[in-house]
Amino acid sequence: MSVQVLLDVYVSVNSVVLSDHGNQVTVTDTRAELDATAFGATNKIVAKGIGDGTISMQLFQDFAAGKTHATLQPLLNSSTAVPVEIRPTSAARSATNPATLMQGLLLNYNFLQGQVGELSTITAEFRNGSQTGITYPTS
Amino acid sequence: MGNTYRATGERAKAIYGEDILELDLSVADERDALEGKQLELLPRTYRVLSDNFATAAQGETFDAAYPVEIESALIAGGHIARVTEDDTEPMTESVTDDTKTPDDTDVPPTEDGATPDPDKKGK
Repeated sequence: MSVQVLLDVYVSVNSVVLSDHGNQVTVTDTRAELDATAFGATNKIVAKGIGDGTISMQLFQDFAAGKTHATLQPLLNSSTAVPVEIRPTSAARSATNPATLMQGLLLNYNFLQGQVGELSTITAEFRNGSQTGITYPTS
Repeated sequence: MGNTYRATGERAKAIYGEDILELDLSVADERDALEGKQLELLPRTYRVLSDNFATAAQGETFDAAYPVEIESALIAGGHIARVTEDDTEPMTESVTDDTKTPDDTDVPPTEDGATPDPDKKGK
């Protein structure tokens, strides 16, 4: 059995690589659960509905040009979906290093959060913004 | 800041003609025109300013066709800048202190502003 330890996760938002500011990512690719249980049934039956996707990430806050805040804040006011890509490692896409790709809209951005003495970290949550949903390209 | 387009739909051709045109469209108007296949967004040249932009390395130029909001976000974030026709000189990376050799000590410029030849230093 080969296990994966997250050491070098690749995080890209709108073609900007933020891996060196990130320490946590969550990719959620779901399908709606539709209750198809009819009268007379003895077991509940669900049908699979339309897809949905969310990519959330935790990043160290950085107000320098080209870094965390400068990259994310303009996207909060934007209604155009941007590419969000996560890979297990920073190596090129491959069968053993598949990417997660989504055209995402930034809906939640925590400008500042934390307590005294802590590193300033933020969370950003992108929701699916296109009909392609989440894809897993290997090239 | 406008973008460069070419009319592709019959309606747009009737309004704008078939030449390449520069328009300052709103986000919604641009999206409608592109999704309705009335206009085609033409690529322009950008220079990379930041050190974490995936498309090209810092200082390099590349061509891309960015919708208004994407371009605006990347420019506001300090990642890219438009390259105009009179601004085509490639940026050169400055030498940082940790790349200097012991012989590359700082030599102050002469009074006329020119940097003196380091070989003649102290002679």
